Amino acid sequence: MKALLQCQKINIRAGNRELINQLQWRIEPQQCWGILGPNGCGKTSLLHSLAGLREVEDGEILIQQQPINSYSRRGLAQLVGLLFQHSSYDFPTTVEELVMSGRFAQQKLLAGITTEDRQQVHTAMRNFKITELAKRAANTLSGGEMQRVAMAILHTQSPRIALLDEPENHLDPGIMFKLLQLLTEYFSTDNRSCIMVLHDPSVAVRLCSHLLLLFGDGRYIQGRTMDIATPENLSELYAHPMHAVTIDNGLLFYPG
Amino acid sequence: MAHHQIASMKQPLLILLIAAGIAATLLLSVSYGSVSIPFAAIVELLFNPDETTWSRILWELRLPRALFAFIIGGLLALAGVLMQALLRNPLADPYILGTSGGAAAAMLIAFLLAIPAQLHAFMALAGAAFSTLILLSFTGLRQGLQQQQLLLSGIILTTGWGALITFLLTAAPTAQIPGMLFWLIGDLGESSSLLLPAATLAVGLVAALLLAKPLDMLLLGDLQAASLGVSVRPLRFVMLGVAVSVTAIAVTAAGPIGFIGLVTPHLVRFVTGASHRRLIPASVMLGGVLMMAADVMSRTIIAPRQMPVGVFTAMIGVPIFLFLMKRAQR
Repeated sequence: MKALLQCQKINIRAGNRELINQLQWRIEPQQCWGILGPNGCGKTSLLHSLAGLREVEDGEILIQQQPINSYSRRGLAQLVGLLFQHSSYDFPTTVEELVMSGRFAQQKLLAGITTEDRQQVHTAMRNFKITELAKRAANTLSGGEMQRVAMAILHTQSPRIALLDEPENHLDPGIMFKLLQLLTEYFSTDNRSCIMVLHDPSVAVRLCSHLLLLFGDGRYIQGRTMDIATPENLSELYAHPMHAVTIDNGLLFYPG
Repeated sequence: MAHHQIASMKQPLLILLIAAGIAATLLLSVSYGSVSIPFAAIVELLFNPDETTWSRILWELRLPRALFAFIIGGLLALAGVLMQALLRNPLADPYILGTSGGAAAAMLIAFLLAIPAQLHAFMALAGAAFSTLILLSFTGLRQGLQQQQLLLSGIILTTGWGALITFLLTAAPTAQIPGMLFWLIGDLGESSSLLLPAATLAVGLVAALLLAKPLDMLLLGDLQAASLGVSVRPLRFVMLGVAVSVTAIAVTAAGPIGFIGLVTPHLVRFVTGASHRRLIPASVMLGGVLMMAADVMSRTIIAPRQMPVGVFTAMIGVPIFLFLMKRAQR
């Protein structure tokens, strides 16, 4: 199967610290990757590089076999979308208008809003349970509501590769799994794939088919979740003993 | 939840409302002054100009001045809308951020060096651009969260330009000082040519409207806008160029008039929301109306003497700014 995204020997540095060294990584359609690692290990920098928002120090990123720099902003936005760690908004735009901004890369600059645009926006608002917020001013939303709006924008953008930076932020546990499952199901079918940075290995084990562990000193390991998510690997990753218990639908990790 | 919903006024109603506002303010503006002309006479003279004094005052003084005020107000409001979107800061405005101050200082230098009037606009443009470059090199373009830092830097710059202006006034020949002072506070009396401000407003308005959609996207922040497909850097460059030019031309024509650029977009957003397709034209029109109204007030409050219009906009603008600042902090 052809790769949607490839990293060829990329390096990511912060100042003179080598965070990620010579990363070789290949993402195929229908895969859902979780990225785990301690604070400051380069997870967000890696996601921003994959979205073309940050240059990598060395190596090359290929999106559908083409170098990421060869795409226009608009072209890249049709292929790669990013859910940011924090979304804030200071202006009184309605939630509905804000969700419509996901359609920007598909629209002509001066064209009006099409029926297709409206349908996409309504579907996304229904999926992420913000239909009743449609006319609310976006600068009055709570953190959790804003996070759901950001998810709806990504859904409306509908890229091939969805990058999620700590998507569980601001969401209470009751709705978190439902929304994350919605995203991962949508973005790991057909010709799509999903890459998410997570803090909780238990969430990663439940949602992701593959894992990339970043140690923050240049080293990394990657592979299928069942091979990678071991107490030994995670203990080394977080430099703290991690234990696992088996529960009905998978593994639960907790610090010792 | 109804209390947080945006009043989505229908487009035709909004246009009707603004048109009525323009007509009413225009009527007031041409009626009041050192000589009052009754409304009935104005309507009559508008359709049948004659050689009476009233007719000449109306056609040669009041109408050009009202139009001039409208255009200057429109320019300032347009600059305010663009600055607020570009800096992602609802309290940004060319007067507060020092852009007008830079243009004003450059203009005074032009007066003192007796540079020909045709070149004044270029001097103002250079001053406005220079001030904006200083501001951005200290605060960066990726703003949004550091509102205080941006506003503080702008206010410090404005203070700096103020000091330079005071120095230039001290150094100026005594005979030139009153004229310079009046121009500095914002003066619509010396209405020079309407052509340059009008053309600048038309070009700026069209450019801003063409880029209304990507401007909406900028409100999400640079990174998010880029990830959704906006080429942020060229867009910023073009819009900043428009904002600086529009400010410089307004300053050249009427002096640094404050607060119209800040307050107008705010008032309009209450009605239209933040969508630039509606915000830009409505702000230009309301900016024009507010400036005409401020001009009438500044001509009549201490009549027969005239007050510089900048004094009046500041007296109204300062409390509104403080109120908005308090609201933004919640």
